Amino acid sequence: MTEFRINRRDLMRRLGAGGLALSASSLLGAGAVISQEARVLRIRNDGDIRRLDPATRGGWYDETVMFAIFSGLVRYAPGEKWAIELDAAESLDDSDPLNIAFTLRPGIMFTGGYGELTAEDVKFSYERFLDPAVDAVYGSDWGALAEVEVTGKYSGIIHLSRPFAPLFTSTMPHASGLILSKAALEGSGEAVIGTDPLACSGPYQLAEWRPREMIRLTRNPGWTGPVPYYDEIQLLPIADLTSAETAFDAGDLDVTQIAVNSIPVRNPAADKLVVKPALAYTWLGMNVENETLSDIRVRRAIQQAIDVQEVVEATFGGAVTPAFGLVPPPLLGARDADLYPFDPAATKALLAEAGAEGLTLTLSFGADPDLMIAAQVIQAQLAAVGITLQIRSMDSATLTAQQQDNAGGSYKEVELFFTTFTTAPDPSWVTEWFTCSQVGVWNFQRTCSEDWDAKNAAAAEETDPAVRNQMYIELQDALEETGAYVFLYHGVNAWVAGPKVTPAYSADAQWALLRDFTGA
Amino acid sequence: MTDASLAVPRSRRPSLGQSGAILRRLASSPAGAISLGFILLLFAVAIFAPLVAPFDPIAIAPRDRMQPPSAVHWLGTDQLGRDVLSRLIFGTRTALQVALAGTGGAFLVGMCLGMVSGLGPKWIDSLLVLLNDSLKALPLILFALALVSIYGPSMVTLGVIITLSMAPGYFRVVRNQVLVLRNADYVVAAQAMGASWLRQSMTHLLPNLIGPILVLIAMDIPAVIGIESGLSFLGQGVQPPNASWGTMLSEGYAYLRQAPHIALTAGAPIVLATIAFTFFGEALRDALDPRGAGDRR
Repeated sequence: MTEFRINRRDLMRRLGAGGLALSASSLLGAGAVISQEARVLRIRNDGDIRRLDPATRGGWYDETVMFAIFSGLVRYAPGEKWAIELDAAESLDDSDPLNIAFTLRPGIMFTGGYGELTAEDVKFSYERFLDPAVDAVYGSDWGALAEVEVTGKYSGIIHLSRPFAPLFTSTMPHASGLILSKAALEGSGEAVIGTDPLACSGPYQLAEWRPREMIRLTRNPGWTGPVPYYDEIQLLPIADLTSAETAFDAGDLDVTQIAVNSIPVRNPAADKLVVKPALAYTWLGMNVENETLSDIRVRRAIQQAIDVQEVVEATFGGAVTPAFGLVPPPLLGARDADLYPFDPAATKALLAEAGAEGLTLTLSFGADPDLMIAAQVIQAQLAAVGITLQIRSMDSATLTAQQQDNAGGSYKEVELFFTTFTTAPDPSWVTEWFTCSQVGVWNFQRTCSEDWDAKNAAAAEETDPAVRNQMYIELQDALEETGAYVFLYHGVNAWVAGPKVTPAYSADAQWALLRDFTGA
Repeated sequence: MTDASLAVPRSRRPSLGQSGAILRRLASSPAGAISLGFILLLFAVAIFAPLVAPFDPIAIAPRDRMQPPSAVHWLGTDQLGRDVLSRLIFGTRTALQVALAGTGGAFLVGMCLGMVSGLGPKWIDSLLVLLNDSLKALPLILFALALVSIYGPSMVTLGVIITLSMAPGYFRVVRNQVLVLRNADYVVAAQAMGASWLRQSMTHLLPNLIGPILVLIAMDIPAVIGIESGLSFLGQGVQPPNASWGTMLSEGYAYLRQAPHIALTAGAPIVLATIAFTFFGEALRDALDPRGAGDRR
């Protein structure tokens, strides 16, 4: 009989061998898991989703997700130039500018069992912009739409009541051109979509939304178009660019937008740095209904007291160039000079003429580090001509609420303010906020001219690019003539990406086109 | 002839000799001596800021933006080309102005109400305690942001916020001390001799409260510096172009990668001043009550 005896050394040896075997097996197991691991992209979103409805969407934070989970007839192609390509449409005939015929690719399925994407869905999606119950924020995108005629299961004709130049630049390829499921939305009993897209028609579907934490997209099994590279995309809502950049450097993000001031310190090759001129415009506005600023000579004096070149240089250190208007340079209608450039002598003369020496004014704006720098430079420039400028950096929603307080009248107290708007690649998107109907809505300068409004409407209908270009230049000239605008800069968009990612952005790099991202 | 038994008992007012002893005890503690030295240095810098600052703290020079520390600019320049050292020096002045005005205001309000509460009728005491507890229950940051959004960011708003948020602490200490001291022989005797409330408060009660109050002030100053810096960091405190440690930290944060010296040099005085005032407060407490010091260690 063999006596079973084991000493401490044997025990340790056997435990060690067992542990080694366990470790090896777990490593092998892990290897097997790694080989089957899903391709996951982690990317910063500039905010959390709010409204995934093409007609009432919020901002880029919504649109980035919407471009991945919905299809349009056409879409923006990734790359250096603004180009469009077919998406859900198999063909599109725009030879008649008032009647655009389309044919859909058969077989695109909505998620949630809502069936195939058909011409009825296209009709429903575009005509609902005109439905008062929807109260479309972007209703003007389809303002020229007469109707969408369904000619077959997959075919139809978009009938316009008048020529509409932005149709193929900022309506159909943009989020206003995305197609929803008629059955899903009507079945929901709601007029608009919130944060639940109901039914997705794009390459991805919204798999999970953890508010303020993560938006998780997974492949849409019913998608029949080009297969996207990533199995899963995790969008992390991080508003602060510095925090996002820190997360990128820590390896918690694969891709993120970065602040303009970070551009010089990034390694362009290693960080896959992409910097593109932004379709944005930042300006200093003056409230013409404010008592102090009601005199155009005072406004003109302020216009000519500001050296925009110095403001932009101090704010961005050469990474951004000054603006000469509202329309960003890549677009038709961009200006190349100001009518009333920096002229401190003229300022002093105007102030003396208006009897407004020793003015004290307040510049209000939503908290932003770049705007804070710009404000302090302007503060110094105005001090040089005898104007005391108080800086009021505040919550942007609070400022907007005051500017929109038409009933209470507190908007009159707002004097100077900074505003930044972004735009789609068509100048009509830039100018539509400065009409009389926008006074107290988004036109916080409160400049109003029916003649200007008529010219603005005519410019949207003009299809000759040269004529249209001149019309938009004149529209901006007229705004500058009011004295209520000092155009500052358009800015740039900058992104960095990790070594395993090949990113894809819109031509201005405002949107990450998620479905076009691939591996390195 | 004077009957000694009828003499009014004297209050325990600290004499000049006692003050000297307190100072000696304070200086004998290393933490107390170092923190006192640092605080005196801060006050000197704040008082003589225009003389010691090498540059105008608000003069911008965009071409010199974000320069690293050099022989000309010892702590470099900020995003507008302003000398960081000069802004730091004037920021010290801002921090101490706000701290002294805020704690001074809180002390005055808390002391007056605490005296009234402790010496007045029961219903006034109950009402003031209720108001005090209600004020103390308000979340500081929300309360501060609400006031700033109504009245706008300014030094005055900042002072009001700090006074209102700190006064409950002084009220409670003063009231509790008064409730204890009002039954002391010398106070009862003063009452018997017809001394008014004001005389009782100023002559007999206040001198005996001053020790704990001084400790409380020393301990509150770092909190006030934190509030000022925090609100300025959020853009709701000291407004440009005035220099403030919090504003500098906030602006430096945006350039942490390109020019870390801005945020680092703005953060350092906040930390050092907070530590110094806290250590000073603890050392002062030990110096005023040396018998309890051993128990606390």
